[in-house]
Amino acid sequence: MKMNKQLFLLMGLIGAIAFTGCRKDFEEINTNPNEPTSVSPGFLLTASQKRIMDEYYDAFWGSRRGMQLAQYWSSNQYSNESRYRFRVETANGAWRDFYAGPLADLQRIIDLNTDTPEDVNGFGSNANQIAVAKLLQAWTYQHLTDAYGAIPMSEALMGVENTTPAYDDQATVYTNLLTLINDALSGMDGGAGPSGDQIYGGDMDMWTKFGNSLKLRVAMRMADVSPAAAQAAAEQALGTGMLIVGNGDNALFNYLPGAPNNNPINEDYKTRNDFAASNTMVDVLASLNDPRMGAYYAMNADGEYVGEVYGLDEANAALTPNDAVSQRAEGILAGDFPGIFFDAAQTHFLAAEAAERGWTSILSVEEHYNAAIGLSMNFWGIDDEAAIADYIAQADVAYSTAAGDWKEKIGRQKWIALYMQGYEGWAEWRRLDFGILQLPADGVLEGDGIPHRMEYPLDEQTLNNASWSAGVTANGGDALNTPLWWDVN
Amino acid sequence: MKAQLLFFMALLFVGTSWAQTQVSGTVTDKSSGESLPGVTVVVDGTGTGVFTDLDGRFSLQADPSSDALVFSFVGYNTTRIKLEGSTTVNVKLESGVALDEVVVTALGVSREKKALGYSVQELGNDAFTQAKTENVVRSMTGKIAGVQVTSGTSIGSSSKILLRGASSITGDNQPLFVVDGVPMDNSDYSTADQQRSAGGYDYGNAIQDLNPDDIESVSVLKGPAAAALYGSRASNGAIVITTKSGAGYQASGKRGLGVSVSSSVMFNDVYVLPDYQNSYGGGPGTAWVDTIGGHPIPDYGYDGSWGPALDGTLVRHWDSWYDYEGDEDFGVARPWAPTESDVEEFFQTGVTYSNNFSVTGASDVSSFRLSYTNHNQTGVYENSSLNRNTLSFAGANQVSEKLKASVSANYVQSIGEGRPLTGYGESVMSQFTQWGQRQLSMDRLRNYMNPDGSHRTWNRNSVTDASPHYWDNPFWERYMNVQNDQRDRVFGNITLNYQINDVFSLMGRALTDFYIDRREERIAVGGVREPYYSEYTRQLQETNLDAYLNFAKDLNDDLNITGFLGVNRRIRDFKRLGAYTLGGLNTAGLYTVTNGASGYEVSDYQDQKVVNSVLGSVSLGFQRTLFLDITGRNDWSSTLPTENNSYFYPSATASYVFSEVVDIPALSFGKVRLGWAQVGNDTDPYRTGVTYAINTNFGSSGSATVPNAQNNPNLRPEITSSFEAGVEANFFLDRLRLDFTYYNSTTKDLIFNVPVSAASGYSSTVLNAGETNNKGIELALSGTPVMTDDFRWDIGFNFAKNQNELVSLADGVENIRYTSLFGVTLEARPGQPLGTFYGYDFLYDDAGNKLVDDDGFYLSTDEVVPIGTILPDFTGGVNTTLQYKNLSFYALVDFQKGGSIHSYSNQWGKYSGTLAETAENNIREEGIVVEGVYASTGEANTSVIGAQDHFFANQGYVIHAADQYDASFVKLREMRLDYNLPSDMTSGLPFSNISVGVFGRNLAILHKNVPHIDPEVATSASNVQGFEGGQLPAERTIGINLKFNL
Repeated sequence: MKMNKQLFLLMGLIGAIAFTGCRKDFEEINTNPNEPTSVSPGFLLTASQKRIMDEYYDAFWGSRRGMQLAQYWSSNQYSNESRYRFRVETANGAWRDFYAGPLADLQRIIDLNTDTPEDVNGFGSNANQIAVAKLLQAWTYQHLTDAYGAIPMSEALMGVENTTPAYDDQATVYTNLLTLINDALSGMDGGAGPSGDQIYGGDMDMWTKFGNSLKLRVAMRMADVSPAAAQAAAEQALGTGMLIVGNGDNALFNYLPGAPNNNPINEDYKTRNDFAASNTMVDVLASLNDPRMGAYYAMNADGEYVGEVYGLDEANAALTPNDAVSQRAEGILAGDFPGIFFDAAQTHFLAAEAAERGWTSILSVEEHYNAAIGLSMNFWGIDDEAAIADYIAQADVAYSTAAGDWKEKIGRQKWIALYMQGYEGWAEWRRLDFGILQLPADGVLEGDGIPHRMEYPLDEQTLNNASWSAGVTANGGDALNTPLWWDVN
Repeated sequence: MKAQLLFFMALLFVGTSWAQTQVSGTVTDKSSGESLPGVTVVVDGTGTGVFTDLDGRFSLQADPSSDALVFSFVGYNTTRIKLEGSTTVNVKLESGVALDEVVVTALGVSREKKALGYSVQELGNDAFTQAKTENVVRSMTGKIAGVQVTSGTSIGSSSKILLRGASSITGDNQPLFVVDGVPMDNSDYSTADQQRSAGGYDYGNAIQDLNPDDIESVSVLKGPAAAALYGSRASNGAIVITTKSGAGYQASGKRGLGVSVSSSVMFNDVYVLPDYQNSYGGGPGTAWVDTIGGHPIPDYGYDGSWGPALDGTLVRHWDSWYDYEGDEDFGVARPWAPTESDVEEFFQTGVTYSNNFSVTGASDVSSFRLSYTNHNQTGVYENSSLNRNTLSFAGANQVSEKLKASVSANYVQSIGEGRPLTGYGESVMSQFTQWGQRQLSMDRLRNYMNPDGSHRTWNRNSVTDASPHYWDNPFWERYMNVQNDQRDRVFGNITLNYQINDVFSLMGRALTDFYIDRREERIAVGGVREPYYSEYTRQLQETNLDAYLNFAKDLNDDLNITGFLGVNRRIRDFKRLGAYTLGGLNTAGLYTVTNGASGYEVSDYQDQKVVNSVLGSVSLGFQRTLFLDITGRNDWSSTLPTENNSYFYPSATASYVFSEVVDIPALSFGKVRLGWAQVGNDTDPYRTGVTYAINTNFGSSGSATVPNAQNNPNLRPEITSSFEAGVEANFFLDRLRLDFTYYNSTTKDLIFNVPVSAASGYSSTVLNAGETNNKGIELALSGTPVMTDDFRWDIGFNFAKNQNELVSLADGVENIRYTSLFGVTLEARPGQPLGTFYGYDFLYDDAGNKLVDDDGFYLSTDEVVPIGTILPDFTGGVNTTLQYKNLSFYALVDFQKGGSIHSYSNQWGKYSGTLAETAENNIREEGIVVEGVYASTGEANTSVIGAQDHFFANQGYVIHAADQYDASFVKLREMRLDYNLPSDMTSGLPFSNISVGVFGRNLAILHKNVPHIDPEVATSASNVQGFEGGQLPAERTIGINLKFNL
C-alpha cells in the first residue's frame, strides 16, 4: 500500500513536470520580442531616403563606378574599375540595396496608406505620404534605368507573389515614370506632409517643386527618342512655375557628422584613400579659371592643382605619389556633406535646353544658362557675384561664344556643375555627347571605349534567369557598350 | 554478493530455460594473467548472462551440446566460445578497443547490437584520449564509415561533422550531440563573412567543451532510423555520448575509492606552407620608386611582389627610416635579397598540457565518479592560448529496493585569448601569401612598436609617412588586436527510476545545458583599421523534461516485448546582448564601449522555442533471431503556425540474425537489417510573422526598414523519409568482420530562406520549397589477419559514398544561393548536389583545348556554369593496430575523393606575385604562351603575354574556374605507440594500470591536388564550406601520454 502511494506520487510529480504549461500559448512564444509588428511610416521614410543616398554614394557603386564614369575622380592605386573592369559583387549589392531597401520601404508606405489609412493618417495625410513615396520611387527607378536600361518595374516589389519579375524595356519604364510622377503630383492634398521627411521636413510645396523638376529631367532625357511626349511633359512642368529654381529649394539629404549617419564617402575615407582629382576635370577647370576648383579639389604638396591622369593601370597609378596630385577637397569628405537628389542648377540647365529646342520655357536659353552657372557657384560656396560674372563673360563660357553646338555648350557647363552627382554627369555625357571625357590612359580592360551602361548583376542571371534573359533581349544586349534607348547618336 | 548478482540478472536479462546444466569457468586477462571481475558472460542467442566475480569466476546454466558463450568487457575484445560439450570454460581475454556487444542507442537505451535494425558504430575512450585534440569532433575523423569531419586549422577552431551527406539547406546539417541524455548545443555563431572565409575569428563549435577524458563511449547513429526517437534535430543522425561513471567500477565488484590520472603533453607546429618565390621583392614593377642618398627606394606601400629582382642591391628597407634613439637600422642600406627569416619564422611551436585526475568510488548501493581536467594550450601563433577546466560529477544511488536516483553535473570553463583572424583580407596569411612582399624578415617585423608606442609596419605609405597603407605589422596584430573569449557551461541531469514490478518501470528526469559565452574583440589605435571594441554576451539554456513508462515482458517462450511510452518537453531560450564602438576610440588602449569616438551601438536579441512531444517505442524479439522495432513520435512546435504545428513521424526497423538459423561455413555471425523512418523538422523562431527592423535613430528621428527576408505565415514542417538496408557478417570466428549499409533518404518541404531576385522587394523569402535526396553506401570491414599468443594484427577499413541531389524546388524558385565571394557563388540548383559552385569557366573546343583570344588571353563563358561541388564523391579511412605483448601500434590514414574548393590563396597569391609559379621559367622576363588554341582560327596559341597580365587575366578573379580545385586528399592522420607496463613490473608500487604512449596527429598529406594549401578547408561548422581565403596553415601535433591508477 505504501509503495503504491509512493508510486502514484512519483508519477504525479513527473506528469506535472512534463506537462507544465503544456501547449501554453505557442502564439505568444513565437511572437518576436526583438522587432515591432508596426512602425510609423515616418521611420520608413527616413530610412529609405538615407538608404538611397547611402547606395548612391557607396564606395563601390558610387565612387568606383559613378564618380569615375563621369571622370570626376581618378584612382590612386586600384584602378581596374576606372578602366572598366568592375567587381561582380558591386552590381549585386547595389541592385539588392535599391530594390529590397528603399524601394521596398517606400512601397510599404504606399501600401500602409492605401490598405489601412486610418492607422497611419497621424503621420501626415494619406495622400501626401503616398505622393512623397512615389516621387522618391520615381527618382530611384530613373537612376536604375539610366544605369542598366530595361529593368523590372511594373512587376517589381510584389514579394512572394512574384519572385521573378519581368523586365520593362526602357521606353515603358520612362512612360511609367511620368505616370508615377503625375500620380504623385495630382494626388497631393492640402493636408500635412509626411513625418520623418529628412529632405523637406514635410513641406509639400517643396515636394511639388521636386516633382516638377524630376518630371522635367525625365522628359528631357527622352527628348531625342520620344519628342512629342517629352515636350508635353516638359511644358507641363515648366508651366506650373513650381520648380527647384533656387538653392533654398534643393532636395538634399542632410547627413550628420558622425557614424552611423554620416556620408558614406566620409566613412570610407577613414580607412582608405582610393581617389584623387581626375585630370579630365582639373584641366577643364584650369582652362576656364573656374573658381569652383578649390571647392572640388585640394592643392597638391606644391600648392598647385594637378589632376591624376585618368585610367592609369595599377602599376602606373601606384607610381604616382599622393602628394603630387590634388586630392579630394576637404569639404566633400566631411561627414555631413549632403546627398544631392536634385539641385537648382540642374533645373536651369534643363530649362535652357527646353528653350533651345523651341519649347515653352520660362526664360531664354542664355538667361537659364547663366542662372544655372551662378546657382552652381553659390552651391559650392562662391558668392562673389562679380567673380561669377567675370567667369561667365569668358569667351569659352559665354553662351554666345562658347565652342560647339548647343548640346556641347550646355553639356560642358552642366557636367562641371554636376560634380558629386557622378551618375547624372555620366548620363548627360551619353545624352548630350559633349566630348571632354577621355579614354583611360592605359587602355580599357573590358568592353570598347567608355561604357554606355552597367552590366546586369550576376544575381539576376542566377535568381531570375528567364526574365533577365528576356530583359537582355528587350534591352538590345547586356554589354557595357550597349547603348540605352535614349542614348542615340 | 549472490544477492547482488541475482538482482542484476533480474533487472537486465529475462531468462528462459532450455536443456540446461551448470557451466562454469574463469576469465583472465591474456597479457597479465590477472583474473577479470565484472566480465559479462552471456549464453549466445539468449538473454541469460552473469558477471564474473572478483576472482574472475562465473557459473551459469547453458546447454553444453549446442550453446556458445560470449564474453565481453569494456576494453577487451569480445570472445565467443562454443561449448562443444564442455562444462568448464577458461577464457583469456585480450585488450581491444571495440565494444560490440551492447551498444547505446537513442535516448540512452542500451540494446544488444544484434537486435538493431539500423547501423550503429561505436568508439571507445581510447579513440579520444590516446591522441587528444582540443575539439573532440576531430578525433572522429576517418574512423567511422560515412562520418566526414572537416576541421579548421587554428587553435580551438571549428570542426564540421556530416553523417551521410547534407540534406537541409538552412540549419547546418550537423547531427545531434547527446551527452548522458542531455541534448547539447553545438552552435558556432559564425557570421556570414566568417563562413565564406571573408574574415573574422573562428571561435569553434560549442561541443568542443566536451572533455575527452570523461568519455566512456560514443555511439554514432547515422540515419533517421537510429535517431527518430530524438526528434527533429536528429534528422541528420545523432552522436550519443556516454560519460564515465561509477557504475562499471561498482559492477566489477570494486568497493571504496579508485583514483586514475592521465596526463599528456603535445607540441604543435605548422607544416603546410605555400611554395613562395624568392626571386623578386615587393613592388608593382621592376623600377625603383626613387633614389635617396644614392640608394634605391622600394615601394613600401604596394602589397604585391612584382618588384625588382632580389639581386643583393643595397637599398633602404622599410625599417631604415625610424629615427629613434638607439635604432641601429636608421639610415642603413641593406641588401635587397631573399630573406633569411621567412614566413615559417612567424610561427612558434605550440605546447599543450592536458591533465586529468579522477576519483571513482562505490559501495553496495551507490557509486560516483568525480573528475577534474585541465587543458592548457598555447598556439602556434604568438600570444594565443586556450585554457579549459572541466569538473564532472556522476553519481548513482539505490534509494530503496525499487527506486534509483542518479545525477550528473558538469562544469566547463573555456578561456581563449589571441585567436588568429581567419579569412581573405584579415588572416595573417593574407599578407604573406595573398598580398605581400617576399623579401620581408619576420625577425625584423617582431619589433612592431617604436619607443613612443607608434606602429612599425613594412607597408608604410611612403618614405616620409610611416602610417600603414593597407597592412598592419603581423606582430602588431598578435599583440595589440587581441581578442578574448570565455564560456562557462553547466550541463547535466537528474534522473529517477522506479521499478514498479517485473514488467513496468517509470523514469522521470530533468536535463539541462546552460552556458554564458562572452566574446570581446578589439582593434587598437595606430593600425590600418578604424579602432574598435566590441563585446557580445550570449546566454543559452536548453531544458528537457522527460517521463517514460518502460516495459519488458516475455509473452511466451519465443516472443518477448520491450518498449516505452513517454512525454518530453523541450524549452530553448537564447539571449544575446552586444555592443560595439562607433567611429574609433577616444582613448587609446581603453577597451570599453563607452570609449567609442562617436558613441556606441547596442544589439539586443532574444528568442525562445518550445516543443512538446509524445513518443513511444515497441520492440519485439522472436526466438532471439528476429527482431522488430516500431517507434512513433509526435511534436507540437512553437515555431510553426499554430493551425499547423503538429507533426507525427514513425519508424519501423527489423533485423534477422540468419546465422542462428542457417549454417554457412566460416560464417560466425550474420544478420540482415531493414529499416524505414520518418523525422519531422520545424524551423527557427519568428519566421511566421511580419515585423520591421529598427535602425539607429537618424538624429532625433526614428528609422525602420522592411526586412530583406520575407516571413511566411503558412509554413509547414519538413519531413525526412529514409530507407536503410544492411548486412553484418563475421567470418572465421569473428576474425573478419563486415558491416555494409545502403540508405536512401528524401527530405520534402524543406524550409529555408530562398534568395530571390531583389526586384521583388525582398532578397529572400521563407518557403517550404523543395526536396533533397541522399543515397549511398557505407562499408566497414575489419579483420585480424594474425593472432597468436603474443602478437595480433588488426586492420580496419571504412568507406562511404554519398550521392546528394537537390531534386526540386518550389515553383518560381530557380535556385538557392548560400553565399558568394568575388563572383564565385555557392548554390543549390535542381538536379545538382547541395553546394555547387558557379562561376565563369574556360571556353573549350571540341578536342578539349582551351580557347584564347587573338592576344593570347583565355576566353571565358558568358554565363556562369557549375564548376565544382563541395560534397565529396567518397570518403573513408584505413587503420591498423599491431599489438605485441604489452606494446601496441596504431596508424590511421584517411582519404577523400572529390569535393571542390575555391582557393583565394592561390588566386591572389598569383595575382600579387608571391607564389613560386610567378617567377618560374623566366616568366617575368620572357612572358608566357599559354596552352590553348585561338578561338578565331583554331591554331595553337603563339602569343606571348606578360607575366603580370597573365596572372591578372587568366586566373580566378576573371575566370573563376581557374582557381577552383579538386579537394581530394589522402592524409596520414594519426599514429600512436602505446606501452602498458606489465602488472608484475609495478606490483610493489601503489600505481597500477600504467601506460605510456607517443602519438602524432595530422602527420602528413600523402596526396592532394590543390597547390600551396591544405585541401581541408573549414572556417565554421555551417553549411557554407569550400571557400578558402587566407587559410591558416595546417598544424601537426606530436605528443606523449601517461596514464595510471592509484
